[in-house]
Amino acid sequence: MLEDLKEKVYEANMLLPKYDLVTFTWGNVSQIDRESGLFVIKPSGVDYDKLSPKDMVVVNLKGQVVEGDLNPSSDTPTHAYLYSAFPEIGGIVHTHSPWAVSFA
Amino acid sequence: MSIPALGTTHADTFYGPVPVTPALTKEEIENDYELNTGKVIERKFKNDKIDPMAVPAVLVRQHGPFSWGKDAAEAVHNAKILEVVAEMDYHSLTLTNDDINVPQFLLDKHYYRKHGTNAYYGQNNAKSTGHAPRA
Repeated sequence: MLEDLKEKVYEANMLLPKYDLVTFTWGNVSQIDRESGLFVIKPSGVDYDKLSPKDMVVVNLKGQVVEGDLNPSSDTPTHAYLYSAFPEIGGIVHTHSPWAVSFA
Repeated sequence: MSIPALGTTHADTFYGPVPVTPALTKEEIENDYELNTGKVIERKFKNDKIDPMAVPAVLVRQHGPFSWGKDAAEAVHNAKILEVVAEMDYHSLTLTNDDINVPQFLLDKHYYRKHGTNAYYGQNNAKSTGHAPRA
């Protein structure tokens, strides 16, 4: 299910360490398929160097897992809510990148 | 505090300051914390009439940044720009107490160079005027 989207979301998640935006596992990326109303998100607490596309979790807009063996990111309800609140957006990222966090 | 628009690096991606939400209350944290994090973001954008596509990021107070875009790759791109701009702003703000926010006309110029129907930045735009007319 949504195999292409899992690949895209995996690639986007792997950009976080590449761009020096995450420490440990403190970050997550998702992307929604608006047609089905399902989104794909990183599993919770899995190290980036152990991640693969098949680990990505498919979730509905209620935050319920539709496909995947792993638990989705703990921030999944935030992603689900934002996809409903902001219908134009297609992808969401959360990090603890230090300069942005300093302003928060 | 919000991340103010102090230069064109910011204005190219964020059409105005990147806002910071109010802190979540004790109740909002103890019950449905992650859902309430989404709600506090939505409220901030609706109350302040900010278009989430024009300012594709937010700071949740005492927590950190969320960013978004048309897809996951664009959301990550915006997350990196946010981080770079936040670092630049920190340094700029330590250098002076003057008002160093960009004027509206510079914000407009840079944002609309890259966004909307009159955008002309990059290679995918018919409106590029960098070439002399062909003979």
